[in-house]
Amino acid sequence: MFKKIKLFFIIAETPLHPGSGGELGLVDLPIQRERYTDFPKIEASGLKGCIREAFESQLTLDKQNKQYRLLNNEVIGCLKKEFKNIEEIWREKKNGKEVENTDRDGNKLILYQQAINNIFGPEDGEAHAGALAFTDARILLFPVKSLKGVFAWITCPMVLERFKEDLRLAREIPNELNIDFSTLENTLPQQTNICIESKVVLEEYTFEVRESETTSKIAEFLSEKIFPDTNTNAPYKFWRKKLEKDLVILSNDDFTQFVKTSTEIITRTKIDNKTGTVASGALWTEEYLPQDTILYSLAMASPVRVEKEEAKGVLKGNTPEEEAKKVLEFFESGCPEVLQIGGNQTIGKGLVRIQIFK
Amino acid sequence: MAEKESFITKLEKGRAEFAYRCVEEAKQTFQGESKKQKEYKSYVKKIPSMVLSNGLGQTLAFVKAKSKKENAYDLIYKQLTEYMKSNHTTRISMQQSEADLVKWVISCNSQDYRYITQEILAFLQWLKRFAEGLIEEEE
Repeated sequence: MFKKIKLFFIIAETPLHPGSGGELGLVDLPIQRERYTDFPKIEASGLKGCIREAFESQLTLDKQNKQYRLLNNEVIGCLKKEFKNIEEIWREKKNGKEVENTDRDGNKLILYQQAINNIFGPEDGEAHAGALAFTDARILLFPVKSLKGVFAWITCPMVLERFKEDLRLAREIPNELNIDFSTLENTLPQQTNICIESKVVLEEYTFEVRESETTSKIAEFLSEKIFPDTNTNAPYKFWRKKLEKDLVILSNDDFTQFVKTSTEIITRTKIDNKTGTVASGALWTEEYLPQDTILYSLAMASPVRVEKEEAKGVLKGNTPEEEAKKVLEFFESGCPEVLQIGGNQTIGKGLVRIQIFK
Repeated sequence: MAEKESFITKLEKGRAEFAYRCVEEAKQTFQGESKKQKEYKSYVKKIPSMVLSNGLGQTLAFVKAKSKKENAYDLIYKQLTEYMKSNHTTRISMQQSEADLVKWVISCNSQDYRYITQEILAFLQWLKRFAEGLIEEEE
């Protein structure tokens, strides 16, 4: 079972296309959705793959010495503080002899790679499950065009209720969320910027709303957690202020409607180089989660699942709890701030910022 | 129980049947005019994403503006009106006495407007599928 759980936010910095493949819908290439709510989601397997890739891309191969090294950057700096010997060569006992571990081409592997294998599961060879699991990313806040104040973040009681439950799993139960959300339908924070005479106009729909002190507190809480006020995050001050004011809690049904019909639909074509016109049959539509959509997922750590103690490398702990803690620490300190998730990487889609709940 | 079941089946089946008839009608109306048939198909494919990105009111206004006597947009507009007046819709339908679809749509309140949007999108999904299947592509 999982010993340690951490919640982290996924903030879309550019439109996001976690594709579900073809579907018999209105859009040719729709995004992934939960079966029974139609809420957008990101499948855990895709998320895990992206995070693993982000970890692996911190490596560089020193061709002269035939040895892997870690890049020299801020993230690795953080990681090295927690795991000092992470760059040492990965040695393993084979037939009673201690040998250096190498890849197929004879390049020496380092303990960092052993940790990746232990955390995410090995790519080949001795099979065991990874020590870190992820849940499907769930929607928390969805941006919608507003007649006043450019856009508003919307959410609903059901989403907030789930968020609270997931925080409880991670053993974080903030007082700010110890509320019955169902009474908060059609409310927004005090001194909001998007209200016009007790109405908000989202897309082309008008909602009768009221200001609520409780909603103010929720908005402040979320804004503090998603855009924390630290020196490194200073650029997000504008967003922090915006989220404090421009949040609307809609009814569950209204929220569902918006996440179904207010995603970005982009028409794409392929141009035939010779004729300069659309190639035959090459016209299709794609669905995107708009930028500034905020999702979250849980990272759940268990002890390292290998038999031999020495194969645990830098993640070895005295108790299962300590090991799980180290696994989470490795994820937390080594995860780059910005990842790429979903399709169309080369046209700048899918850049997300990861913010661990603290 | 049986009643409930038949209600649920009726929903999608009713829409599907209605959409099928609409495409047949289009083929009949534009018999021998393959250009118009092709237009019908391509408009039917285009309209759903227009609704999603511009809203229903805007889209219907556009379709109405493009309607000319006996062209494909005209037929689609007429068919959408008929569908909204039929008994295949859930939650909301258009009164027989109402004259114009877009006029009725923009007079509705926010909630009804959203129901209509959902309803028309659900119908268009079938229409699009049948149009793709029944109207042949010529080379």
